[in-house]
Amino acid sequence: MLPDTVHKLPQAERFAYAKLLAYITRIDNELTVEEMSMFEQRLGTALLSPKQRDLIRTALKNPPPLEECLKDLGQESGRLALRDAVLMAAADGTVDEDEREALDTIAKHLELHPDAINRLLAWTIEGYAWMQSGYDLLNDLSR
Amino acid sequence: MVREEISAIESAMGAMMLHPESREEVRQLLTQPPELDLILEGMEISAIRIALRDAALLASVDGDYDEAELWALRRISDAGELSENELSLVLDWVSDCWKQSVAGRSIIALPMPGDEDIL
Repeated sequence: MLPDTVHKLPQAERFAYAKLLAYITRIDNELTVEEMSMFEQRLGTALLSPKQRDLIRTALKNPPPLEECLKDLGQESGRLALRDAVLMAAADGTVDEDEREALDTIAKHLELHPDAINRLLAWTIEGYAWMQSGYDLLNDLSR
Repeated sequence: MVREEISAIESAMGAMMLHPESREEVRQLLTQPPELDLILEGMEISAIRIALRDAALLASVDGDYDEAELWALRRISDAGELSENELSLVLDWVSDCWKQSVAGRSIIALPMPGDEDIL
């Protein structure tokens, strides 16, 4: 929920960012409530226009090819999209082979360190543990 | 409101998967917010506690908690039947959220000004 620089990107790059997330979300042909919630959260952060949100939700039904998603991404939007794509891919608890392959392709396209995906996955696991600790904290607290 | 706060609110509404019409209602409330006590009266304890967590996150977006924000967080915490010490634990959890966020930006080499102070 905390903002970073996604909302500061040019509108076209925010749209490309969201398109890539739509691609990743549908890569395993499943869409869980957790993935949908994460996806909608990231769309909110990106401050897309209502029309763009509709287009992105359509892209969820018919995801564009990965190459098309990548072509409009700059270095900054691409890196933010990759970070959040890792979060999306792991939202259902596992990262399957197709998802991993796509993540590796994106990292390579962005010319990132070969270890970038492993580091982002480790960060994601920590993040989900931290989220769970928030729920645990709220459940445990009582006067 | 700064753009960062709007982004955070839109993010929270997205995570809750609010209906587009409900989101529009919430956006309208941003200009004329209702009384806090009136909102809290209609909420279950569990919902109040989740709202407290997300309210603390939202209040931290501009970098600090001001007096009015702390007053509101204490009021929500009371309504959620939490002690001052327990509210403090929630705020600690929010601080960890910022550290987690900085670590993610560090991996993709996109630091923001002030990140070094958070770590």
